[in-house]
Amino acid sequence: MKKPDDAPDLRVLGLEDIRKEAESFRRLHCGEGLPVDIDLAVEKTGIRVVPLPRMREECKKDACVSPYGDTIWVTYDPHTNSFFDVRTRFSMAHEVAHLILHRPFFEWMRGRYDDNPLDWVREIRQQSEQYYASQLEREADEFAGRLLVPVICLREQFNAVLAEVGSTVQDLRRHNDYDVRNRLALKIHKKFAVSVQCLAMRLLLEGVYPPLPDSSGEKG
Amino acid sequence: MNDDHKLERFGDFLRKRRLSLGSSLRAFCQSFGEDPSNWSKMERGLLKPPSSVSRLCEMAKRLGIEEMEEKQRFLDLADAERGRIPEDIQKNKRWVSHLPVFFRTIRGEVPTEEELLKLADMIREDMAARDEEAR
Repeated sequence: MKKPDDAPDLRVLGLEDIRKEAESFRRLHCGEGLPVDIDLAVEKTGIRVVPLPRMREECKKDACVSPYGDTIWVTYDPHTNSFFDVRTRFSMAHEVAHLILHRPFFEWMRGRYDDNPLDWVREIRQQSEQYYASQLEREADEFAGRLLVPVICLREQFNAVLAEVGSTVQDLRRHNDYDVRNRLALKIHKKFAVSVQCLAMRLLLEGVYPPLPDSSGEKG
Repeated sequence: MNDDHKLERFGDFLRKRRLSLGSSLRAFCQSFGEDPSNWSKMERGLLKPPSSVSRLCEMAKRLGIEEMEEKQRFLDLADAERGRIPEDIQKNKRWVSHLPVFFRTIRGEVPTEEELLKLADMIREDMAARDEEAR
């Protein structure tokens, strides 16, 4: 669908640009330790974190930035304690990414807010998908992944697992890459407080496993 | 107790105190089994503080408030939030200077005769001024 004339043009960001932004945010607000305390970092910047009942169930979203960028709503279900699961940590980092990378889009969308948070969440999701396809979401995911899973720490953890099981990368390469990645992720993900899927994706996207041909990572 | 303390909202105090412990909403509520939605509403002034003193003392303990004076201030702010003092009174410096009497009164402590007379004078003057404005 054609983008309306007044909708902002957002240039597609390169991986390195996104990763630099994520690194800067972490350096400025998150400190050194693992897991990255994204919640505290967000709150310390003055943004409020507000549990919004049933957002996941009704809008298929775990978090969303409010129209004025002063609040991040996070899904909340008192029965399942969804507010506390690791998915919402990633989603908060993802929303921070939108605030940093895609501010003009939020400013453009603001006029559509009619005081009902769940309607806003639905609307912004729909408009983002309609006019920017998955560009905004892909960029925000990359930012969130790099923010919560610092690549240096990921390589350290990966090498620690290799040492622990007495394997080399060459040994692992004899097996199916997808299976190996998932098994590695299962061992490492708790250190970063992200899901197994997220960690497996970081191993792949950062070229940690399988290693990129020009990767500076452990070659075994 | 200075004027800034008297004017502070209970919710703002809660939030500042929690953040000063280096604790996010998620970490704080998870550690203490607090409901994050209700806690967040209290911090935003959308939910009144509990009236139970033992519950308030429990909250104070979780926020690391141990010193007697600070605990009393915490209880005062909760009291004031439950029967929130109107904004115009909060903006009036003369009223603000008398809020400690108000706090003591709602705590059930008996103010001195002189304090009560001053308070009564202020109420009379304020009502007269409002009547004047209405005319």
